[in-house]
Formats: sequence, C-alpha cells, structure tokens
Amino acid sequence: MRVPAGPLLRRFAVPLAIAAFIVAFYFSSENLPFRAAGYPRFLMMLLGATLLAIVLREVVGMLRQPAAGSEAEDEGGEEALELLPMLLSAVLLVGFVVLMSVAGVRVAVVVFTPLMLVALGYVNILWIVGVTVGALVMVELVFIRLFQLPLPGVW
Amino acid sequence: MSGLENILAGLALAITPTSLLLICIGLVIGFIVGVLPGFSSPNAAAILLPFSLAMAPQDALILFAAVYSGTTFAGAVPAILLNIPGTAGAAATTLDGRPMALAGQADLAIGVARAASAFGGAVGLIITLAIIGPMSTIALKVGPPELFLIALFGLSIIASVVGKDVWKGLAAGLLGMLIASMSADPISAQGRMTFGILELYQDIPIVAAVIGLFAFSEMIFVAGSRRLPDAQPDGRSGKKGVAAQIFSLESLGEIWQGVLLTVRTPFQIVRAAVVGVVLGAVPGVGAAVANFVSYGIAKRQSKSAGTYGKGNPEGVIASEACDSALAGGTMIPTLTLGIPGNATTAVMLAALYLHGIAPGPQVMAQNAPIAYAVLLALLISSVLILPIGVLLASPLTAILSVRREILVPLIIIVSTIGAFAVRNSLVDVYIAIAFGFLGVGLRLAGYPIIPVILGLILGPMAEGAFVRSLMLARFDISIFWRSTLSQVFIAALCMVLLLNVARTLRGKWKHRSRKGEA
Repeated sequence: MRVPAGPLLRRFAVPLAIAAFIVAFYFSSENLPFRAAGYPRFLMMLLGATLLAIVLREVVGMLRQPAAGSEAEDEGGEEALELLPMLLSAVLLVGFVVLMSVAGVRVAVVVFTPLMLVALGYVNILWIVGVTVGALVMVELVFIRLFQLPLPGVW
Repeated sequence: MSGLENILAGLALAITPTSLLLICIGLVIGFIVGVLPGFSSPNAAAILLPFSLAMAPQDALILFAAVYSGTTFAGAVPAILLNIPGTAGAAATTLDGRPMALAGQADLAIGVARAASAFGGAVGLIITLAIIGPMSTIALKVGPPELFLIALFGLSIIASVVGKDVWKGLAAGLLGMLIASMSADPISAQGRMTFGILELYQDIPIVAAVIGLFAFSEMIFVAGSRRLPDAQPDGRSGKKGVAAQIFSLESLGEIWQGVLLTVRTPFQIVRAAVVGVVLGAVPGVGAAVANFVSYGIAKRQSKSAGTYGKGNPEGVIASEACDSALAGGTMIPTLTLGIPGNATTAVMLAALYLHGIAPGPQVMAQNAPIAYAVLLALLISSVLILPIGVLLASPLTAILSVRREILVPLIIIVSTIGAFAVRNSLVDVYIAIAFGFLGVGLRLAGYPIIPVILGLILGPMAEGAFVRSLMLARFDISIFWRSTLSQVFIAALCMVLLLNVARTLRGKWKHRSRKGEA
C-alpha cells in the first residue's frame, strides 16, 4: 500500500493541525497575565499569518490548476513511500517504549528487535537471532554496565 | 584575554589526551555514518547528544566536531564506489569519482578524496581561525532588541534555503518557537500548556526533540522507503569484491598515489577551501550547493575543462576540499551569532545550551577558549583524517553491505535509551516519539524539520530578549527598530523574504513559459 498523492491531505493537513494547536494553546493561556502569555500570543499571530499565506496560496493554486498533479509533487518533500511498513514501525516504536516501562528494557529489546526486522521484511532466522542477541548484549554491556543507566527493569 | 591568548587556551583544551581520544572516536563514528547513504552527521549527533551530557562542554563539542569532520570525509566512499553520495556534500564527487572507479581507478579516487578533504579542511579552518575573532567583536554590539531580531533573521535564512518553500520553512521555525514556549514562563514561572506534567515546566527537552525529529522520524521513513540498489563496485560481485579490497596492499598503494597526486595541486585546494569557508559562513547554504559551486569554478578555470565529468581528479579535489572547508565556515555564524550554519551545527548549539552556555554573540566573549577548542579540534581532525582514513578506506566499504533493516532497530533502541538517559524519565521518550510523529507529518507534507529544531533552540533566547527589550523600553515597541543594527537586521529580514517571493514567482513564470512553448 503506498501513500496516496492526496493533494488535499498534503496541502491542508499540516496547516489545519497547526491551527488547532494554536487555538488550544490560546485557550489554555487565557487566564495567564500578559507577561506570561504575551510572547506566545505574538508567536501565534506570526504563525497564524504564515499559515494563512500558505493556505491562500494553496487554494489559489488549486483553483488555477485543479488537476495539479505535478505541482503537488513539486511541493511534496519525499519520494513515494510504503505506508504499511511506516505504520508498523511507528506502532512497534510505541510498543517498545510501553513494553520497556512495563516489563523492563531487556524484555522490550528481545521482543522488539525480531518483530521490527520481520516488519521490515527481513526473514533470515539466523540473522534475526544474531541481531537480537547482539542488541541485548550491546544494551547490557554499554548502557547498563558501562554507563550504569537506571533503565526500566534494571535494579 | 586577547585573541592569541584565547587561541592558546583553546589549544590547551583541544590537545589533552581525552580530547585527542574523543577526536579519534568521533572520526571513526563519522566515517561509519558518512559511508552509509541516508545517514548523516545530524543523525549521529542527535543520537550522541544525550550521552554527551556527562562530558565537559568542550569535550562534547569536540566529539561532535570530529563526527562532523569524519562524516564529511567519508561521504565520498559510496559516491565513488556506488554513485550514491554518502552525504549531500559528496554529490559533486560522483561527477568525476564514479568515472574514475569505472575506469579501474577506485582506490586512486579514494586517495584523492582523502587528501583533498584533509588539506581542504585544514586550510579552511586556518582561514576561519583568522577571521572569527574580528567577527565576534562586531557581534558584541548586539543588545536584547538586536538579539531578538537576529533570532528571527536566523530563522528566516534557514527557512529560505532549507527545503523548497520559504513559507513552509518559516511556519516550521515559528512552530518550533511556539512549542519551546510550552513551559514555565521565565518571569512568573506560570505553566503554559504543560498539562500538569512536571518535566514540561523545565522547557521542552531539546535532546528528546532532536532524537525524535532526526532519529525516530528518519527510521520511520527508512522503513517505508525502497531499498538501496544492489550496485556493485567495479562490476565485481559485492561480497567477493569487498573482501578482495580489504587490507589489500595494492589497494593501499593506489590510495597513497592519490594522496601524492593531490599534494601536487595546492592552488586548487586553497581555492576550493576559500569557497567552502565563504559559503559555509552563510547560514543554510547546503554542502551540495557549495560543492557544485566549487566544482563549477574549478572547471571554468581549468585548462582541461573538457575532461571534467569523465574522471578528472581535479573535479574530486574541488568537491572534497570545499566540503571539508565548509565545516569551518559553518562555525562562524554558529559561534559568533548563535545562528547554526546547518543541521549539525544546530545540534551542536543544542549541546552548548544543554551545557549551560546560551547560544548567541556572548559565546565568543565569555567562552572563547571553548569556541577555539572546537575549531582547533576540527583542524586536528583534518590532520588525522588522512592516516585514519587511508587505513580505514577498505574496511569501510564492507559497511556498505550492512542492510538498513538491521540498522533500523538498533538505532531505535540506542535513540530510545538516549532520550531516556537525559533525565532518567520515560516522559522524555514519549516526547521524543511525539516529535518523531511530528517530523514524519511535516516531511510528508513537504515542511522542513531543521527550522523546527532551530525554533526550539532559539525560542528561549528570543523570548528572553523580547521580554527584556519590552521591559527596558517600558513596553514601547519602537525599541525594536531604534538602533542602526536593528534596522540592518530588519532590512536583511525583509530582503530574505522578498528575494524568496521573487524566486518563487520567477520559477512559476519559467514553468508557465515552458508549458506554453510545449
């Protein structure tokens, strides 16, 4: 499954998300005195004006060239990407941190590493076992014993 | 202390056994990262950032400087062997490096690249050392209003040259500054959008943001991108070819011939180094741009211009010498004004900030020995690059055979632990993940992420300068345009924005003319 060109999504998702963040920030700082809220509000004004300029430009661009496939590609920053591996890796990343907080770093590394390799399409069992063991040894020797970091699950 | 005393104090910091060891370690890390296409010094610096907190400020910066130097140096290897530049700065190296490799002169090309990088970097740093002192004197005339305008100017410069769209770059930078204000107000200590989370009262953790934006988002993109092509160096099968090159005496001899060839072209090296320092001092000018400019100048002034692009070593020299000298040039705005020259120096600014040294014009005034130590570390790196680089040239090519799928989980594990290690807090890891997702979303929509980091770093400085200015002037906003220096920065800011609007309009006009002709 590939990321659709989605010109509308690509053009407006980020400005809308940032606008929502600005609104949330504004209302959360309503009760603050001017000295505390003045600078963020100044930034919100600048950012809002910039976003407005971006949105107006996108709307004008769409009205002029409705089938602007090439323009949308020009403004997009990345090559064509596979959505499923990206989503999987994002989910595994979050899962790794949650598992680390629940079961400790060692268990999290042993579970996460092979799952991530498989999610990326790597199915050589020997290498999967080798990389997992290598990751565990690296964490144990470098971060736990050498740096003595108080990682979750390490006592 | 006088300029010379500061340089000597910096030298004393840079040549301690610890510093020299850190330089060697940083070079090796930089070589490994530079050889891997798609990974670059900002990624390495972001991962090392949390672990550098336990070091003294000069040690941390020296390590980053050596990583930067090593990465710049090593990007030529895949450029020559696989026609895939390891770093953006090695893009121009492919023009002549790859034809040399195809003609059976891969080792000669690597030797030329090594020597050009070493000598170019050394010359560039000597130039930087000579001019950074006078430049910092000018920077000291800056007060709170000027400091605030510098922050905005720095943001606009970076926004205009990073990515394809200045408005998106500005939005990203301002977003970074707004996110940076999600903390306790510096005067009244009241929380702003902190959600009652104690860790957020202390400012957004820069380390977590850097790891999220550079490491996590990059790994998610690597997961979704296609694999590298299985291009083989010199037409031989990958494993056999690489194994045959490792520790081969013949290979070392050819590399040494390349070094000697470069030594006989001092003028080309100095010319490329000057281009690198001058363009590097302009914030946001990418290494790729600078190297192509250097390549173009070398070609125009060469008596054998027709051989450029067909395996002329002078093309490799022009590109690599400029690339290494650029590192010194980018330090000028970073250390004198607190405006990073590129993503790596942005991470170095974050390191300065985390070690209690506020980035800005006062760095050279209050911490000159540390600043000079960093520059001298880059100079020492340039000297050490040659022997270490020649020895590691062959083994480094073996690293190219490591698959990205194996690196991704390892980098995620190291980055997660790095984000945790700053304050021993899982909240920082979740913040890093949030920034990772932010980075993915921004990049998918064509927004650059470097301005976000810059906004996060400059945000606290800008807010402090903004508030101090208003308090000094009793809320009379004309303080922001009263002084001559303020007016210069405002004019420069407007010029940057207008130039970019003009560039965009010219691009659209050309596009329409071409469509009309078609």
